[in-house]
Amino acid sequence: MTKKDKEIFDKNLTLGTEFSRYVMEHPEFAEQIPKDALVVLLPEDDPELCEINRKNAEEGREPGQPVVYVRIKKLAPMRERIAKLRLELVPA
Amino acid sequence: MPKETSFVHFLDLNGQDRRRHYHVHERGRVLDFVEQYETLIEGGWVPIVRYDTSHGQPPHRDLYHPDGTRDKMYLSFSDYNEALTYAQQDIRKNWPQYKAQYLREKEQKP
Repeated sequence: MTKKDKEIFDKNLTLGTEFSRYVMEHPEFAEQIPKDALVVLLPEDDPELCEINRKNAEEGREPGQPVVYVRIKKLAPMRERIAKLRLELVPA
Repeated sequence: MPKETSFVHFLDLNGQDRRRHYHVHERGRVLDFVEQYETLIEGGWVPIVRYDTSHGQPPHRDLYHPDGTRDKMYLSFSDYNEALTYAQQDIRKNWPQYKAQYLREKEQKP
């Protein structure tokens, strides 16, 4: 696997898992996705990835499979999940 | 009311690898899920590794073999949200090894 392959794979995995999370938190979007649809991830800040994903969808779409284009305007930076913590220094 | 979502999307440069996702959730809590990595072999989509909560079983991983058998491993998470996160992280980290193992076995098959 080339470095490029790995890069594309990682980007799509990240976008895909974030999309799953987004859909859980925004049920109004979930309702718009037909069952077993082919989702095409199109991050607006990555034209190359958009082109790759669009091409793969056009060539790899199964007969009768619904397709949904997901135009992602922005991916926020990873945020910490810890809401609150306290440090306790242990004496030597 | 629980909501179901299922979709598939391409992962790689050439349309040879896909991620299949399914979940049932209610108010942010995952009630059921499938996370599957599949690859295109000889014109057909083949599951390589799958995490799911099917048939009321605890969350588990199935590693597929070319002979049709599967290795099952149960997860110890009682929280399905955590189990889903684990599944996604494992596939992210280990899909190359899972795929390589499957292809090696396929080559060895008489």
